[in-house]
Amino acid sequence: MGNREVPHLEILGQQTEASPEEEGGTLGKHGFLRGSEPEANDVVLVLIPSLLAREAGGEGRFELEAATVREALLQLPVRDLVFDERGTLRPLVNVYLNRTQVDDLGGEVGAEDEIRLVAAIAGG
Amino acid sequence: MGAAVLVGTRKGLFVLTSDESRREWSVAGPHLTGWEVFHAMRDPRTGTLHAATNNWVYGATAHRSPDLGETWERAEGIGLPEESGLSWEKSWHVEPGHADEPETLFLGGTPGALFRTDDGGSTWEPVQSLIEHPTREKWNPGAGGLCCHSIQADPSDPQRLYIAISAAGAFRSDDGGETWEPKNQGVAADFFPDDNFPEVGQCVHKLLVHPAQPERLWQQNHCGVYRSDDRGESWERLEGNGLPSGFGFPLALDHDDPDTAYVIPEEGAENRVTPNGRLGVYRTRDAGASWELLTDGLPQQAWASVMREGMSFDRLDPAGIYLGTQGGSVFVSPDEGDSWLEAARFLPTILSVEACEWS
Repeated sequence: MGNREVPHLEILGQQTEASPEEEGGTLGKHGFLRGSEPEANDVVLVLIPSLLAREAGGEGRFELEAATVREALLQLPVRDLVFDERGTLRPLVNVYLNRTQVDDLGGEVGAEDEIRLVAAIAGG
Repeated sequence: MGAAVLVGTRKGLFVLTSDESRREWSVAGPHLTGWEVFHAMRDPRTGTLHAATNNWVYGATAHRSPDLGETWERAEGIGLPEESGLSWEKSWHVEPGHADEPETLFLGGTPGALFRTDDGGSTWEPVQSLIEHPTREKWNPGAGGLCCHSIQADPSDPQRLYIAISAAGAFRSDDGGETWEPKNQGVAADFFPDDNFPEVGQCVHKLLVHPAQPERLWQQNHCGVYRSDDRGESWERLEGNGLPSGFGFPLALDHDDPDTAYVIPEEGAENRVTPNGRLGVYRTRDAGASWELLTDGLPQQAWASVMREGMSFDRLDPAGIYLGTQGGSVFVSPDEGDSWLEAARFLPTILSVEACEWS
């Protein structure tokens, strides 16, 4: 498992240090979520659906250093599509950790863990 | 130079292209697959394509393409301030700013909000004055949500802007968006049981400024078709004299003739299909005093509907008119509405059509 060091956060170009409670991300001046840059964590694999992969320049697999699920997701180039402007996971995005759906994005992750995003299934 | 129509649909963006005759059309796309394209346009100042895009899982955003759709870039970071208590829900319309400010564009949507970019769409900032508008508590969402769907820059004054929101009404800014005044005098809101002519709360369906006579505005409203000749200070209701209904969504203006406008009425709010079981476009050439039905080439047994962004007008000579139906057909008139041809069919549900040059 990765360590629990507090990541540095980028808020609209300003480097700041988060409190442990803000672990993994914070909100910009318009409430928009900016990414985090964790330090010295294990590498986890993140797999994203095809629409998100197109928005990420064709890349569907990401190997990311992260201590928690949220930390990993906040590093995605499509984090604005995964989280809303308040930093809340969009309600129809399901997160799986090693093929088990998780609701707690604060759960720790470590080497060889796999996070998979799956869009909720519906017709139309 | 060729003609093109950007067709925004529930399932991506299609591009129809033709030569200047506009008789034979090719369909390309879809671009932006997976996205609902509520509106797309080609910025005549820069040639960049812009699209107001939504996904039912991943939210509302905007895309742009500098290379006619070869590559697309998503705008990141569109969101409303936390202290507003509002969240960005739907992107409805993207509009170029004044000709002298080629990097300025506006993006409108739900919940009655407007964004501005001054760097060609890389970053978008919410227009705070609209978020905090003193009449906001009197606004009510229509069937499509509280959507800011009409944005018009006055070509004669870079500081003057118009917007329209369903159902909040029309607003004008004379200071580049710092303040907004309701401009709804004489516009009915028949759905209110007490006051049918309130300061705000009107359900505008589409508002356009005439590019050659910018003090003249037109609007298709939930409660009638209107024209203003004084920048929205007062409005004249125009239906009757040939229009079967005042209810409808799209509106198109002849860029050269301020007296010519086009609407596609529907039966009414409770039955949103074209009247009398046929698809017809109504044209006025006398500023709304009379309307004539145009049907040559349009299906005469049709219960169609055309959404608020579903009609457009080009700048060729003679001018062309374009409409897209929810059933997925695009109809083109290369002769100002006198005759029509079907340029595409069986597209996904059409949300917008926008004519542009293609070269």
